[in-house]
Amino acid sequence: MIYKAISADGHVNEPPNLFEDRLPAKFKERGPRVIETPNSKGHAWVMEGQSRPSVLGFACMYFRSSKRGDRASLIDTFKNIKDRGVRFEDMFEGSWDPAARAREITDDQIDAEVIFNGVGTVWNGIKLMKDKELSLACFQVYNDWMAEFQDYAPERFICNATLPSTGIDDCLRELDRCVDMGLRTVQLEAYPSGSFTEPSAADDRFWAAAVELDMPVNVHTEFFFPAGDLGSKITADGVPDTKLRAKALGIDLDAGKFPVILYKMISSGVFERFPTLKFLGTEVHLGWIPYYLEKFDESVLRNRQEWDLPLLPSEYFHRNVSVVYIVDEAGAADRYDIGVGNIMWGPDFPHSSSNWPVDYELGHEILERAGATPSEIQRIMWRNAADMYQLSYDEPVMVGSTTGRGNA
Amino acid sequence: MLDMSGCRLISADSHVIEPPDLFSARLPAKLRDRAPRLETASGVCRWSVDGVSAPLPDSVVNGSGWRRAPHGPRTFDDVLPALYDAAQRLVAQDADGVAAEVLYPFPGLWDLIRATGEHELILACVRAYNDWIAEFSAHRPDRLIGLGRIPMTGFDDACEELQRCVNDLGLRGVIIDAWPALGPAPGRGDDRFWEVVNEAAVPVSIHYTLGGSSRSTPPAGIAPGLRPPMADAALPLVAAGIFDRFPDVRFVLAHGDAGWATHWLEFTDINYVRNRHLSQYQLENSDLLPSEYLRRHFWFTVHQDRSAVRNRHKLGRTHLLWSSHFPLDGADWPDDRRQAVRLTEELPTEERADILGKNVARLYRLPGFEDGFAGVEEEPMARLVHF
Repeated sequence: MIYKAISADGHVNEPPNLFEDRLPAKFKERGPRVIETPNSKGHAWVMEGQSRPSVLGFACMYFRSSKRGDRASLIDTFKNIKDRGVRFEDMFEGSWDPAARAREITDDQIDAEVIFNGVGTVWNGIKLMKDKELSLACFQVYNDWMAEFQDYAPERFICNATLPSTGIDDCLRELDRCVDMGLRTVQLEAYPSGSFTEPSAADDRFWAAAVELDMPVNVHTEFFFPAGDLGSKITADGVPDTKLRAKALGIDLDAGKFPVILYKMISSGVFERFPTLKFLGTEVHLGWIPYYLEKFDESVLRNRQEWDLPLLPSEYFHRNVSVVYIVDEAGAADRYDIGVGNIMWGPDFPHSSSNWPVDYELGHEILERAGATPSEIQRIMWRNAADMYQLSYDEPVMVGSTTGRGNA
Repeated sequence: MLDMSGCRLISADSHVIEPPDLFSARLPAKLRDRAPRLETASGVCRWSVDGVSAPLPDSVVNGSGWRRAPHGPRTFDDVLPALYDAAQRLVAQDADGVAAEVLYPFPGLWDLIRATGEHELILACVRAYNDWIAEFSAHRPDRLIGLGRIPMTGFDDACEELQRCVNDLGLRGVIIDAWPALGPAPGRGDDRFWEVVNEAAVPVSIHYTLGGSSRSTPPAGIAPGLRPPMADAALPLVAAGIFDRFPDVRFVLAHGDAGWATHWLEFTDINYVRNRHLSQYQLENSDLLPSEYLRRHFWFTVHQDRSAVRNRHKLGRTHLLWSSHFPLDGADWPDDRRQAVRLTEELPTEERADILGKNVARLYRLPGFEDGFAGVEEEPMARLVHF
């Protein structure tokens, strides 16, 4: 077959009873659970040790009651976006029901989708739980559910295992367990050792296993997606409140951001030691990358004596790293500096940054506006993802088409 | 090499190193024993304030981060005279093929002075520096464009020193490292300051960061090519309506390049367009997007930044200002001209001349450019988002 579009970034919203139903008896009372938020009349997750509930806020843009938009009215549909007061019964059922999800992505002209966890909703809370055994059990419960979700339509859904941040041994064991369950990709919520700030030698066991299994390793946006205790608002002064809250919790938010993770991965030689590791930054967008690589290379070229790796940073990037974006006009225009083979499109459905049901239309339009050729559009809209996740397809017949990863 | 004979090179971000007697000779007698002083410790010459010190960078020995100096300055005698002597500076500019420079102080020293938190001392140091840099610039006002510092010791001090810089000392621009009224965000309380800036049309610089305890140069060991922290100061200015009330207020984001800015502008617009109905900041002029305010009122200094040069039409090509960073780490002295040529080699002649010198000459209204940007054809602002 030939695909029209593969979304390299979609999300579930974990169903309210997921943890209560599935956690072992001794943890049943202590897992994440959903409460009513009294003022905004919505739902929120509460987790052991978190002082503020994580509201369902930006977890979706489209509600069952919303008038369905089209390309022309897209801008009006943004008024539906809510940062609070979202209820489970208002959301599209595909947030947790695979049958409904298959219909929803079909409406969006998407053939297959790489699925990630609900990021801000429960995950900060699970990661920061003091009881690591409870935390690990939550990861496992989620991964069991992901495997079932994927089994509904493995040709449509490529579900990520979310790997535990409770230590390298847990991480490796859960990787094996998830592979046995048929999951084909993983997302990291911390470095494999469990550190939120620094890569370490202990991680190498994990990178080696990922290479051995040919398993793509995703980081979705950052290690701490703002919600709950972190907050997610930009104040009336135009200042984000996340940083102050994180500081109070002792979390170094900057260290968990993808460009910093990437810097540490490249400069600590991970890609030199594991030249076939497939590392992805999802929902990290594109427009920042040309300057980042330019400066990274320049810092090396000017200070050769402090750089003992044989390749330049940009060379490791082009060989080992893929990046996924939603909407990014500047990045589409700068695609040759990033590498057409390193870019995947992923509209983030059903989160509030998505544009359902015109994600495909808008994604295509942006690449056309940037002057991308039909073969470039194919690569970014589905083919790079099909190669990454080993989905088979017939070779598209195209004049002047190119194959392989790396620079276009 | 291309013929650059017709192109005047003006650096929008260069530095001086404060001479040893700057503070000891100029501070009021009662503060003199607390004046910042030069000392040598661990074999490196350094500025010291209240027992805390900041080493002078190695590159003050030879002006180049590229040809690494064999060692840093052991004493002030090792520092290039061009960094504190105006006549020598002109010789260094000639050697470099640079016609003029906008001059900032040595950031490490001012981070120390600020960290004392002693208002009387800080204010006295700021005034001493402003007097000195005004004398330095007066040696050749068309080639030495010193900027004044605004003290962060209180709103009245800030307004008073701004007036003094502009009216008495004849400085062409000022540097802030806090909001004038010292609030956590810009607000109405700052208005009297912006009123003066607006009237005098002096560009206001932020050098890498803005805020109490933060550094004004990038720390070592962070990922390169990230958005500099000073960018976080920009949107609050828009949200506070400063540019609606004071349309001639102009900012220079110094030492931070602009290659990061296309993405930042696009995503600032995306966030605004999608989420403006939520309880976020509002814009007074609802016909404008935040990036349109930002691109109108902000200028960027660019050093080794091909990404910005390539994306100049999105950023505004009259808003990019080449800079040499002389003599800090990134500098290539005496080969800055070669670096500038390489950076702009793909540009049409006129655009190259703009980025390498004319834009900064217009911004600071240097001789021959008294009308600023008047009469310069503004290219239509490229739309960054298409919802």
